[in-house]
Amino acid sequence: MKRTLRSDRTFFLLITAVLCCIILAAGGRSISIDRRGIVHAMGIDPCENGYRVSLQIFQPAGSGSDTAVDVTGANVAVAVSEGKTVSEALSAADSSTGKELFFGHLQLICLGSGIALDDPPELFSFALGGKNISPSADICMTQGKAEDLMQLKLTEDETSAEALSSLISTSAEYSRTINCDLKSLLSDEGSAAMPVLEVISNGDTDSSSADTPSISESVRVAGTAVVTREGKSLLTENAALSAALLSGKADKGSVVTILDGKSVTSQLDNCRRYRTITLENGRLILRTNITVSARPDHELDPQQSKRLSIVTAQALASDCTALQSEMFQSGADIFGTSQLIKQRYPKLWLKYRDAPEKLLSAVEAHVNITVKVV
Amino acid sequence: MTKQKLSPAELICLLLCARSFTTLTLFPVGITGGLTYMTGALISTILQAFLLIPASKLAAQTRNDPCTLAFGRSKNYGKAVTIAFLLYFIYEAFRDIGDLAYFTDYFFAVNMTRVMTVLCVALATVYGARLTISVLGRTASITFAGVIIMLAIIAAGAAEDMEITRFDYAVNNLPAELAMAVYAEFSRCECLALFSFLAADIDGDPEKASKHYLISKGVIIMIIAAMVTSVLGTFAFAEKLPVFTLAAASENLITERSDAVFLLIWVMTGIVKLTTLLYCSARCLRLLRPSTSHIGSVLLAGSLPTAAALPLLLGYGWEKVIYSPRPAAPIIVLALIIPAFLLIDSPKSNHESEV
Repeated sequence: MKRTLRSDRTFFLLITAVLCCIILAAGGRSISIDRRGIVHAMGIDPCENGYRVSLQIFQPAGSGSDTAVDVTGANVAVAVSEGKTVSEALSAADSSTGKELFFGHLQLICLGSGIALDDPPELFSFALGGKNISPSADICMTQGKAEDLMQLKLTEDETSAEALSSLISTSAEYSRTINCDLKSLLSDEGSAAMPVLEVISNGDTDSSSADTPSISESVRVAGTAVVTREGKSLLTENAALSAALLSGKADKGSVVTILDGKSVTSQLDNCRRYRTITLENGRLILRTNITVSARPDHELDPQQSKRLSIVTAQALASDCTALQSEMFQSGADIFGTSQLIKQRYPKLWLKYRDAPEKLLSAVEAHVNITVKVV
Repeated sequence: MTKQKLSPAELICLLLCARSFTTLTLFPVGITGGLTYMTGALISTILQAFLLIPASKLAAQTRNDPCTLAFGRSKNYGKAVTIAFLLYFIYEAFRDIGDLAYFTDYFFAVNMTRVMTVLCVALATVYGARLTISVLGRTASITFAGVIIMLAIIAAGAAEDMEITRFDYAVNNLPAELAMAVYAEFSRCECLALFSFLAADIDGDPEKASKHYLISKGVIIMIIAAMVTSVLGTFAFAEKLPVFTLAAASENLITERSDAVFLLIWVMTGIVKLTTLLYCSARCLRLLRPSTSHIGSVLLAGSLPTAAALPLLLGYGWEKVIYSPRPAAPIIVLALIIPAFLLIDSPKSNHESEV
């Protein structure tokens, strides 16, 4: 009798549990994957109404299947919308595309040249409030309109955005520009430096190449933008190596030096930076010690290697010192110097918190570079 | 019937899960510097070492929880102490159910309504609270291993962005900020009240367990705060959920972001914490009313905080609770004052019971 009662109770409990699962599951809202617009890249330009946002949304180009990716195609569709703020423009894009946009895979945010960056938290409030946008999303600037860059449908990688991201990351790896992501732009650590991309206008209207443009024909890295309160300035590719070495972001690079009347190109790697800052006689003395390994493209004997090492070090040190002094005079800090001052001399930093350019102008910079020829 | 026992390691894991859930969810409101928070957490942990001395000595000498000891002294005293523990555990359970539902809704967007989340969490934790403390301890051990793995994954993915210069004391009034950090950290340590209640259930030395627990807690909190500060800097304190943001920024060869791992572990630590609180609440209810059945006490312990949290969650008023300060006074009373009084009376009560 007891066993029968227990098995009856178990049976009814099981039925109740299954019914609860069915009823509770029906209460949720699910969205099928084809109703989701996965945004890979976005461009922001100013317009009359406020902001014009262009989104690259993943759209597989494979035939015969909803999910097949055609690697010869760009696999993106571009949606454009406007709004008083970027958030409003993104909401408008939701309804114009008819899809629920998802920003969890957003890899790249491009800013048009006309965008003012005097208040980044205000501009990027859509990313701060939204929980899906990764703080590691890359940020770049364009020479013209960001929309032109978004309309480029590159086919190098699986998606157009991946091709652009690869271009930026490879350029940064070889110190032709400096990477910037959302968290470094929004943290209070000095001025931001970001890659500048330029759409190459292709004069030839060959239809086959217009449909599937290669990345080298369509877009190039035009330099590095330095954003300060006063405005923007552009660092050339040559200055980018010095900037990367000074900011500790240099991975690899190359430099050409003259040795015995010959031009010797050296590939740089193993770049290490060590900084100290001291307060002497009312001035802040910043000493930056950088060591790099150089691989020359010529066979050199030990004497030549030693001379190459000295000449290369002098050339790099000269470029770095000049760039650093120029940046400090203009109040731009892309090297993390104010963060170093904040750590070592917090009271001094707090005193000049609202006028960092005064603090930077009191910094005397010394750069010492050691080149090891391998 | 022999009482189920926990090993000291299981108790430590249980308390660490409870403490980790709070830190993984939110940092204290008003803190502006990572190094300041870390220093405050360290000072707070050192002070807690002294605070836990009476509770650990009491557990070592009597091998009984404070409520049972208080009942042994007098019925009214026992009721007062038990109601104090019960109310605090119910309050913490209320906050945890609400945080789990609110932030699940925040993380996972629109797919689950808050009612469903609350019901699922409540059912899971009520079921768990029916089990013995040793089962909870084993579950907590596995969960805490998950916490360590998660932190390792996030650290490995964010290592490139770590910068030592982000640790600084650049705050306007350092002593005041440190004091605020110490108080904020202390008021989030409901694990101390849990230790006071559960220390007698271990089969090892409670005094050693308390030391090991505080050292482990200090290390874990410092590691989490250090990772957030070194990777995100001032951006961390502008974001609502710093550890989630860190996980979203952590990229490795396999995944673009690590917030899915974070959410898995966050939910598990939340469930373990809530289950422990309901287990302790149910024990308090059975002490107050011995005629209550096991399942009845657990259901009541689960339904009270659920019923209190639901109106605030459905009325979108939970933000006020998140940003309201946590009271430190109950922790001092439950983890220090009550055990100290019981410890002072303990030799007498033992002698009287023998007579």
